[in-house]
Amino acid sequence: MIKLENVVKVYNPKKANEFEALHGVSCQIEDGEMVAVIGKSGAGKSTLLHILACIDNYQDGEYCIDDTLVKNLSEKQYAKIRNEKIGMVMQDFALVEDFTALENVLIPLNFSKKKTKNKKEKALEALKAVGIDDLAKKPCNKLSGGQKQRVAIARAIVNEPSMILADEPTGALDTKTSAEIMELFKSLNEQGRTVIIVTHDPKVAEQCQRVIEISDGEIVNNAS
Amino acid sequence: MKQNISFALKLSKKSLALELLIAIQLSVVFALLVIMICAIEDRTVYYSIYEDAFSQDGAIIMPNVAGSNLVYMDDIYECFDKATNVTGEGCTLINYDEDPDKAYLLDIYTDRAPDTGGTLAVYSEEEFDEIPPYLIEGDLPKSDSEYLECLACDTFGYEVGEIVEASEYSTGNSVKIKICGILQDDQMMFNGGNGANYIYNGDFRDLYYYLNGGLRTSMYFLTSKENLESFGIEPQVNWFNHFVVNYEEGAYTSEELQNLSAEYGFTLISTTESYYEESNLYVRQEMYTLLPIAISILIITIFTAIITTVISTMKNLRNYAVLYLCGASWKNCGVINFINYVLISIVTLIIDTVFFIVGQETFLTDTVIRVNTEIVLICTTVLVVFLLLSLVVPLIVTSGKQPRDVLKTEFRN
Repeated sequence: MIKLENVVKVYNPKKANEFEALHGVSCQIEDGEMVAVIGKSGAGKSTLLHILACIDNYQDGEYCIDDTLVKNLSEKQYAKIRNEKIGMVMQDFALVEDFTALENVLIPLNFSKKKTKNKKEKALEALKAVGIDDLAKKPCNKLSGGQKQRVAIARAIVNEPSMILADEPTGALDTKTSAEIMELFKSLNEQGRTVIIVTHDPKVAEQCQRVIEISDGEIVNNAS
Repeated sequence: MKQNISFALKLSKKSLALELLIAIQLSVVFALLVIMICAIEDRTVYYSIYEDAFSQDGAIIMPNVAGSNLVYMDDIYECFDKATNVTGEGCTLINYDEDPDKAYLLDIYTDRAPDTGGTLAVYSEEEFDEIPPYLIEGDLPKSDSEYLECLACDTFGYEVGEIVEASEYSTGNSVKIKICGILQDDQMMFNGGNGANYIYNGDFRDLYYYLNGGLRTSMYFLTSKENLESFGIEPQVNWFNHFVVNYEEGAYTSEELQNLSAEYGFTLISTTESYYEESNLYVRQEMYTLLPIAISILIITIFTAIITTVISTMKNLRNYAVLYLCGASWKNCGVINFINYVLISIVTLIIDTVFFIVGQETFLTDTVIRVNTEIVLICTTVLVVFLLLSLVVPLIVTSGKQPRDVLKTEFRN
């Protein structure tokens, strides 16, 4: 379970250009939910996502993952959470382009503190789960957009994290490929994974079980 | 750490061409640095041996061949009983049977046949290290129990490996000389010996013998002092060599020096004071010529270091952001960047090592470029600075940027 309670995020605190991006945001996301976070540009969606992904910190409130408070942790602890509990999918895929699909999927396994035997096999399984195990040895710069996003999703799930965070995952894809990727997210959700998708696209939001709408740093709608 | 090294190797492998270009650029800069240091050293090394001696009170003398009471180094210390140090080396003469096949190589300036005697000069190990003579072929003398390994001037056609059976002038001891190298002509020798001619300019260059085989009527051999002494032969000081005798300030007046000269039979060339001034002036003038080039190379070196680390970091910044997303810390990424730069530095080192090793045997033999311990130390220091820059520059490149900022820039939302 993910729980946010009165989370406040301020950029450039105590400086002339201080800006409060999130004003006491509270929400709860149960295990296995598929949630869309929508809002206009500058609403605070990405800020919220970055806090959820432990890429950014926050000034006030509480953010808990499975009853573990994520606040004022060391860099090592944040890195561990990003590695073990979160799988991140970005709009521009965020792959090491010169690496093969397999090498990209191996990255979280290589940085994991858990001793994993047969890392290669595990990575291949993840690629198989997203339907591109035959492209394992292909460099990512030779893949199509849809294939790249599948690699990114495989990488996001390889360490079996409790949640998958996706930031505009279909933003760079055509309609057909977008639909395929959304089907992939839905199938991962059906397997019990929590999926949180930040999107501008109402069609993407429609496919989620719940929609959280953010406007000017506040949650204005939190409906199923 | 293992995964950091693994990633660094993988990232390097994937961008091999660019990394190789960076390594080549760095190796060119290093090579320029080495060449510059050699050029500066070449201008100053011949003075460095005398600099300390000239900076103190002293006299520059040449014990005369005929009628000199100064035969061995101890005699100089006896003559100058207030001496604190003597800089210079002696030599000896050897007699040997001239090889009739080589007799055609006559002195081009006279019609005399070559003498059957030669100068056997010595350098100490330190002098061989500081001012190693230039060789056409062969190696510096090593110790040998059977043969006295010597370098030879190239006038009379002796070759590396030849044995010359000789007898030493002062003791009459027979000695088998094995020629281990041939000296290049027109170079400054620390030890002149019999047959040497000198030109006096009033600075340190006067004390060197400009070896020119064509102007010699007899052979010039050079060995190490330690080698010669191991054969029971002590070098003598009264064969046209210069010595700088240092003593405490005011130990001898000018008149006292003149008296000593008359009594002991040596030529008083000068006191050290004027030689110190003139030598420093000469070296400074030489350095003025080199200074603009040296500064340019230094600037190129610094900028190359900074620019290559910036390029390397910027190129990999996106990848580090990806690793960060996947559970690496920013510190991990810094370490990977550093390892990447270490790999580039290793390749740079290999390129330069091969270049200079091959070069010293081939296209660099007729140049002043010689890689010695000092140069290796300087280059190592510069390399350490490079590596420190590779730690600092990424911090500056990413200063103020949080990983989220990099992610925002690289993976647009």
